[in-house]
Amino acid sequence: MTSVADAVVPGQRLGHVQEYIAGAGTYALQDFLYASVVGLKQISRTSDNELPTMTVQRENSQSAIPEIEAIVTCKVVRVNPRFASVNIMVVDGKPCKDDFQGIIRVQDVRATEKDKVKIYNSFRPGDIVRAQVISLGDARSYYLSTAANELGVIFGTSVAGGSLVPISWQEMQCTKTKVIELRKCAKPMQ
Amino acid sequence: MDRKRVAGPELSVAPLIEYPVDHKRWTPQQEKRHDSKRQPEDMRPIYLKTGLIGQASGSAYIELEKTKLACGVYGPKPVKRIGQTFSGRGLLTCEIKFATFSCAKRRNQMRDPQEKELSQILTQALSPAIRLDLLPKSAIEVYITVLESDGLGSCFSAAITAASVALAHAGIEMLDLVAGCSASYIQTGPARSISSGAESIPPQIFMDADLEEEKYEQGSIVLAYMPSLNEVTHVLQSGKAEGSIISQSVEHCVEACNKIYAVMHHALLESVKENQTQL
Amino acid sequence: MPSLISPAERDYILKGIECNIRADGRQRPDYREVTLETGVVSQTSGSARVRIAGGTDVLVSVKAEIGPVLVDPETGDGADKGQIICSVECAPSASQQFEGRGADELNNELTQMMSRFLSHSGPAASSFLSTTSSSSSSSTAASTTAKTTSGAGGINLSKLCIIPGQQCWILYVDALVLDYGGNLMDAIFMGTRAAIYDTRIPKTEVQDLGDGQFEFEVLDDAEDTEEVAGREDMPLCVTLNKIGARHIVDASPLEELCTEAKLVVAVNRSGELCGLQKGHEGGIEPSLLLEMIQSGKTMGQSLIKQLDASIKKEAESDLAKRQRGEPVHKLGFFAQ
Repeated sequence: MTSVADAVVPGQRLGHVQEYIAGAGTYALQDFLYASVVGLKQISRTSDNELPTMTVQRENSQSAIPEIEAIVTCKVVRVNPRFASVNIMVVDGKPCKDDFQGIIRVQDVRATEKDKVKIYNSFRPGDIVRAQVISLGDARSYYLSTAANELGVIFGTSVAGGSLVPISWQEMQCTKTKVIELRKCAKPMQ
Repeated sequence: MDRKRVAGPELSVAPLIEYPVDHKRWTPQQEKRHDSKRQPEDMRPIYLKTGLIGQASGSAYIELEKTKLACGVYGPKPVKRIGQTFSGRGLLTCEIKFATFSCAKRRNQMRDPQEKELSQILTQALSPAIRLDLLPKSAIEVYITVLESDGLGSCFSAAITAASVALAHAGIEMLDLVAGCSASYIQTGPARSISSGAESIPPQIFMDADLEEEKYEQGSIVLAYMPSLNEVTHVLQSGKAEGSIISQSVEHCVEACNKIYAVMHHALLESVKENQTQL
Repeated sequence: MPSLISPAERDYILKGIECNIRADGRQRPDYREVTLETGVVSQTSGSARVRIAGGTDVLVSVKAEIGPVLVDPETGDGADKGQIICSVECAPSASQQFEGRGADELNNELTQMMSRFLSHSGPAASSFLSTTSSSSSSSTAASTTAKTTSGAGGINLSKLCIIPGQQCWILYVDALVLDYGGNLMDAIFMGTRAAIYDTRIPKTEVQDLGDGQFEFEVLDDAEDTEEVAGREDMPLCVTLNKIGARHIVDASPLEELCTEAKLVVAVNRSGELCGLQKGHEGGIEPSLLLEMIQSGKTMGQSLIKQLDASIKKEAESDLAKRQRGEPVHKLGFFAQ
């Protein structure tokens, strides 16, 4: 469908703002649309009464960076009573070349009974967690939240070293010793 | 000299030299350029290629005859520097390093004040083109290594060109590519005494001057320009010149930048083509 | 020295500039009041202090020392020339941000710009690649050496040579920023011009001993000294700040924070451009660039006239007082 003839470079004029809507990889300045990345241009039409959207498919995707509301996959590196620090490894399904720092504060672990949350009973170092970015945070870390059913620990290892399987929304069981450990589990997705 | 440690060769061989023995040093009195095939407004041919550094997010290599430099772009990645406050915009840092063997005089391994300043200028020249507002809390790092320098002006303008191509190659969102171009003002024609400077002939503008020509320059200009947005992102002029010469050389440089843009465009399309054939 | 500005304040400044009225009541091409005083430090060969109403305070000193000439091994240039070595240092007392290594980048930027404008090599001198390669790693303020014929800097370096190929005068031009109130570069250049005007170099007597041997003696006579040749041709610089679609001169710190791009234009009294440099992280359209260069040029020339007049006035009044036998009082450091 796409060919090299559709390849564009940053700054290349793509059309008039009255003809297209600026999509990903493009920007509008004054009356014109320009490409902002190297790649192949694509025009997609959603409905007849809307303008077609112009997007540029990146040829060489830049490393993903966390954005507000993005779903990220991260690994817990440290826990303390106030928050769990994590390394963000994947943003919206795209891997990051370099890990970004994030924290899950105690009040962001779950949506209900926030005052009863104990970080130790929710995350342990080494757990893989699915979370949502709620704020760009401070100078160092992004602020993440797991306050939704499908967010929380998706993979963990028990004290004995076996992998954990979720048995309820706040319990996980070791496959080796059958010991139950407490976690804020993510609802398994089909 | 310590003869024990510095053992000279027993045999000596005549050095390989580039020029015949009767070669005369170029002077502007010859009313021609150092490379006699070039007209004053001609640039050297440019070789530009992307993707030669595997580890980098994006990279470019540029060669203008004897000016050769490589550029690698890393990022966007988390800001690592401590003491950095929260910033809603991305942070661009550029570092230009002359290889120790790149100039006539050996350069120090430590960064000298000139390299620091050029790095700063490079940041100023590139940041108008990058959409840093889309990259909060992230850093982009641009590293340039000058392998061979044939004139500082051309070296610096090549650095700008290569860096912006490398940034585009890294997939970083940009408003436009930045092309860099240099020019020198050189007094040509027969030598005249400085005292009779009243009947001054305007100096010639030599685009993309090389080292030999730079030795005779009265002044020089480096211009960074975004061709499709029609904006100058940096200008650096040194030496004495009339206002008319400046405006003329700015126009020449803008024109040349448009030509360089075509080369940059081509190099990036080549990289797309290569990717397509691999698929 | 503020480092952040609120969007509301930025908008206020931007709209004001659009209407040609700035926060302190000036119009776009207006300078603030400049106070100038020469001969303020007794240990120097020449010194000047420039204050711009509203904060900026720069002390420039010139020290003349005798040293070996710097010869280019390849071309043999520089054997009959003196040297000018510039450095700029922002004192930590001027702003909290200059503390420690905080001012390193600014020092280096200003030093390099000053050396480039004041001592750019003229034709047939070696390329400016080699001029800055001598690094000063230990000192905080980076110094740069450069050799010049009557290049852009104006000063006649051949006159600074004592014995060709051996000894020459080296002028160390050191600018110390005591307080920051915007528009540093213009203040530094005004101070440098005034300090060079104030500089007196002792006369020397060279004796030829034969066989290429020379000996010289520095005459120890305070009355019999030389002025720096070519000082009239030194450039002055004007910094234009592009804010919105307009440009202003002599920006205050807050206006500097709103600046998209700034352009430093160095110009000498005959209207020749001696240097040009863009700063800050924004672009300028080519047509606006040329317009800014033009207005910088005319402004710079009138600034040179005013500065020269005030230097002359001060020198004359000092001389008149001395002749009348009255003591010469300088304003000193804490005068307002």
